[in-house]
Amino acid sequence: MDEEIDKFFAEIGKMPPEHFPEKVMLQIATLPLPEPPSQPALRWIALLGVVLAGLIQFVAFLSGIWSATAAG
Amino acid sequence: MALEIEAIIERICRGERSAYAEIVRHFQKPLFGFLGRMGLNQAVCEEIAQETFVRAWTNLGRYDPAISRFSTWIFGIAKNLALNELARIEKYPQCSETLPEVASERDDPQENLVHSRAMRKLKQALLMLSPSDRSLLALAYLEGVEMAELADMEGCSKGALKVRIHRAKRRLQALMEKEYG
Repeated sequence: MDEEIDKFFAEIGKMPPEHFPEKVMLQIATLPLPEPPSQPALRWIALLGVVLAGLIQFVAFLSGIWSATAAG
Repeated sequence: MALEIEAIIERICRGERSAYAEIVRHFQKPLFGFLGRMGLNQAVCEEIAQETFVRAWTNLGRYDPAISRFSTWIFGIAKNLALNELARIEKYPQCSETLPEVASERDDPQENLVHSRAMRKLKQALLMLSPSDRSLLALAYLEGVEMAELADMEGCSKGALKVRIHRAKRRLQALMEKEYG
């Protein structure tokens, strides 16, 4: 049975029509150029910035609690 | 032939649109094979393949080689479009898909007949299979794609993928036997 299924899947795959790439490229020609991929280094810097901002917020929160407690 | 995807993307981003044709030419055949195995007819395959390449172009900047291979990414786009199409067909059955007759190349007419019958039964069973099973089997028969890459596309381990493929095949077989004895 597996052999029959293998043969079946080998046979039912479709083939692209002639000039398919040209047809796609005609549509691509009407579209704007894609955005360049973002640089991995920039992403790490952005992530570091977010982590740092979160850390500052957390320290500020703790120091707020400490100040309130110290003030009695 | 391996495709230097990152170099091609760089060329495209510098304004060389024609470089994209290399990607289209490289992936068109496996893409049509995949869509055909999903049980979609030629016209729908063409429509989805075209849309896949357009979406890949539009989102080229979001492709990250550190996260996935380009083939995983582009087949992911095609798979989502094909699943949407299958859902649409299920919702509006009047636009139901049809699979064309499978051409048989056997010389012996008796053997030819037996083969054609088996293929017809399998075609009908495939159309009754769930979209997720169809997509899984269609991906499993992609040529030149490693099991690890398929597992990436399906978001599971290699072992789990093998089990899922095996179960999908058994379900296809059960549907065929249930409907046609």
